[in-house]
Amino acid sequence: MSKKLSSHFERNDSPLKTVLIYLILLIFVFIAIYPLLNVLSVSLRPNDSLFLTTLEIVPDNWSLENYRKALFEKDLLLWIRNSLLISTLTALTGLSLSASAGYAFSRFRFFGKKTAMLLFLVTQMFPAPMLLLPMFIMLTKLGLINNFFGLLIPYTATAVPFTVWLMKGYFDTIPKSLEESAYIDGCNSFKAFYKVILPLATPALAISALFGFMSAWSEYIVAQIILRKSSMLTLPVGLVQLQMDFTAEWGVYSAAAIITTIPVVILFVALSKYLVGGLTLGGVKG
Amino acid sequence: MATLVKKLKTINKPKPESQLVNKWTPAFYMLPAMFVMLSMVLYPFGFGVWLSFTNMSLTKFFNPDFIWFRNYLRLFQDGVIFSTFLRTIIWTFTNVFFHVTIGLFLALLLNRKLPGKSILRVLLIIPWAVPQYISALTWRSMFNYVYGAINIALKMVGLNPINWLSDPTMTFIGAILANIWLGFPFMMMIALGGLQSIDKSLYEAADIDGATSLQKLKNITLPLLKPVMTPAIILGTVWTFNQINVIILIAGGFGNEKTQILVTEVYRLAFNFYRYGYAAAYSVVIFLMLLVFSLIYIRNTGIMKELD
Amino acid sequence: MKKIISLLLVLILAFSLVACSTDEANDGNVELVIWEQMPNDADLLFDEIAEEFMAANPNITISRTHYETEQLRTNFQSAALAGEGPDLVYGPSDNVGIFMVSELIQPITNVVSLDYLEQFAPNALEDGKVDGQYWELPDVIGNQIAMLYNKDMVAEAPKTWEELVEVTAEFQDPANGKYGFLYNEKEPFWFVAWFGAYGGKVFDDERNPQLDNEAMVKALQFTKDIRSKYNLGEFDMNYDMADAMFKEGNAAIILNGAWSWSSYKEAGINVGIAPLPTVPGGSNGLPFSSTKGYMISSFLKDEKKEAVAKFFEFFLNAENDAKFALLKAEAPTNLEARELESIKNDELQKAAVETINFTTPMPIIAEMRAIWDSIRPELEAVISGDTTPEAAAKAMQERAIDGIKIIKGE
Repeated sequence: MSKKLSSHFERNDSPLKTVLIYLILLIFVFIAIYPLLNVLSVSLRPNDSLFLTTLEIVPDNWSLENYRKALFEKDLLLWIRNSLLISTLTALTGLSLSASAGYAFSRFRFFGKKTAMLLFLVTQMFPAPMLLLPMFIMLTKLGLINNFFGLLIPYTATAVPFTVWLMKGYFDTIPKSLEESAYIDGCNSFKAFYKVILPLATPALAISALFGFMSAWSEYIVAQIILRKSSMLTLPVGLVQLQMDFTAEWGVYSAAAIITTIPVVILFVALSKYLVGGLTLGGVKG
Repeated sequence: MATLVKKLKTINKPKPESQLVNKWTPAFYMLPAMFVMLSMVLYPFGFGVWLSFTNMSLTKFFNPDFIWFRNYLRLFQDGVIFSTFLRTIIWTFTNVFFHVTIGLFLALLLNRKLPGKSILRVLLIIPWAVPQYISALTWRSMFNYVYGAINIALKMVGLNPINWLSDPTMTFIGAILANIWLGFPFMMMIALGGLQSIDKSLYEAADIDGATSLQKLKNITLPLLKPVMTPAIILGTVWTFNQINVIILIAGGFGNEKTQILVTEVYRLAFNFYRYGYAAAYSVVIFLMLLVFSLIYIRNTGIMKELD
Repeated sequence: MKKIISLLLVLILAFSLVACSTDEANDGNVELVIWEQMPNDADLLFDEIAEEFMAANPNITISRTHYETEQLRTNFQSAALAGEGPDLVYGPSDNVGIFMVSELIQPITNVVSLDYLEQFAPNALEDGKVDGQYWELPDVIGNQIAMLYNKDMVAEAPKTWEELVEVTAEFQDPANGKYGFLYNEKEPFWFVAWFGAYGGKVFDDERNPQLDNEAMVKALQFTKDIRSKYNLGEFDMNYDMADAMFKEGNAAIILNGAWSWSSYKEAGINVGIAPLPTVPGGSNGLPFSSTKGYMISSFLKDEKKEAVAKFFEFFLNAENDAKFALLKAEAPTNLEARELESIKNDELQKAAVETINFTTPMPIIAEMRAIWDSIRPELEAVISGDTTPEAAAKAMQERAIDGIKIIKGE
């Protein structure tokens, strides 16, 4: 094997082993993307061939008609705008809350710290169906029905428990000496956190934001009880309406589903360089 | 909150810091997140517990009676909960097991030097990126007997097609397959993050000692991944235990109890049968199960010790 | 970078504040809040008529929210518990029993007089009547399943099952994706048509379920026979399959409801609509029919009652009722509307009238939920061969009794 090639692969791997690894990975990639390709395939089919007994992805008589319908005959663009808005808000709110709480868990000792960290986990344990009714009553009393803030609070609460753990884990990997030198330079605690530590935590911040964005982007149950005006519907609620009842147009629905998935995939690709380093739930010693 | 910070100490105490960081500092960082969490959870949780002691239902909608523990009593008299519980355990264990093993396996492969691995990595994350209800509905259509992709593929390799959606056992297995697909990328990314932060010199030292790949995996990789994977496994277990979308969407509703797990049963009781009180009792029991499981798991793995 | 983020934040906040302007009721002006479960085109028609109504009644504003069937039900309940919600609810009559029992709605005669009700079809009003009170003001009646046949393949509608088997046999070629007959076999709403054909009724006069009987066994056996004995249909056939295959001209005969009929015309299918055929040893398939209409919230404020009465007079006058009926291929309930030329000359309306005689009213009591939930799993088990019709009928009855106990909170 030439020198150049070997530097791209593990030193001790035989060519056979490398091929095998690629093969395994490709099989899993296929499994991972096939369902999405399936949706893509349905979205490209004209209405008269929804049921086919082949596995081909692009049908011979493919057309973009379903995309045109989804974008211009349904309110898809409006739903996308609403979803972008609420998801971005959730990402930013969740980010600031979890970054600061994660920092406290990582840097300070205080009474009830273990309990508090556990509490964030515990909130995930109560079955969602039972929280719906009281949450709805509470938001009604607060006048937050039919209001994006009424969504922002529960969405943030869904995303934060995970992202707090995530941020805490990442902050643990940043040496404490950095703040200490910042203190000596005359920074107060918040300034040290904001100016010195946060920029170093970019990968974890990116993941937290992504997680917050996603939890809002695909949430359906809470959104459908809180939003009433058709001008305020988010993507999931709109999509489910497209597909519910007996009048579903599967081609249009599939086109809409593909359009829904694209922004998230773009976000993942854009943030992929952070994805690996940023997901640190607990410190790795060693 | 005052009690929360009573015993505050910072980890290291260099002089300048102790003047800048006082006992209120952690509270300053913690409060916003705590406030949101407690406001969204405390009242609904309290309400749920109260509800579980009432007979709120269709005929007692506005003025339910307080009936103490009768819902709980009924719950344990009702034999169905035990078989549902067993099914929930199978559901959760199988899912989390495959999430972790597939995720870890792929992470180990991706942690090697491989040209093009960043593309493969992004493609492997796709199941995580697609909104759940879209993937669940897609899987349902892929399980169709004649026109579903899975049976078409089975026929192509010469196997008999499977009656996924008519046989409750197969529906349940189908839901598990779909949910495994849904969840492995998360574990893969967590494991990958952990793997990359392991010091390479440990492996070099092991190489000098002549350790095999398996020994390195067993003695270096897995132990060092444990603190990373444990919180992920706990979260994964809790999420899977309370997963509603996949089962309901793939089974096409609540019709068959042979496909239900505890949390879908809660949903069915509350929103199909309007038995709010009884459903709340179910929820409280689920909550307690998960709490006990997590506490035992945390104690046995000792991950909370590091928090001090 | 920081600047961009903060700018973004400000923009987003401003954006969302605009999006959630609050609506406060002004003095003397009334806002009627309506939650509806209408198909897509119908809510557009509703908006059109609402515009006219608001122009004629400047002090009344109508605001409408669309929900799916299940959403409407649970959201109405939750909202009522929180002390708010709509003034009027529009939906199928099977909500009546549930809303009535939980005291969410009030009799319509609290707002309109019995005299006013005389202009509507008595059988339609009867559909919303429980315990001697009218709980729903229906605007359409129908929603029944009928037999749809592609006239280019089958010249005349088969009257009996034997005829159907005969005329469809030549089209049945599953290997090439061609079918003689398809329908949504696992859905209880379709299945009850066979149960009715053998003389079955889901409730006796005391509201007890009666599912474990000969009619049920025969209906289940017939369902099974469609594929195994008559070689029609397809494994796992469902709504979407029947719908798509018929639209593509790949199925000669399907069974589908009134809501779908116009879509086949639009798809260019030469569609004929007829009652379900008679089944072997039974009468015609007897699907459920039901009404849709308006229900009045228990929490309607007194000062809004007049506005509600005006709303009914406008939306349910002959002309407007006919418009809604035409859209959905369901019969108008306003008797005067039935005499309008637009209704009399409409092909789908004719079909609706012709097939409604072969239906039975769907029970609207809250116990019905337990019937649906008890039929579904056993029906599936019979179809997949996991149980016998006899055992399934027995199990259904037990499930239904249990389910009703649960609903009643016993």
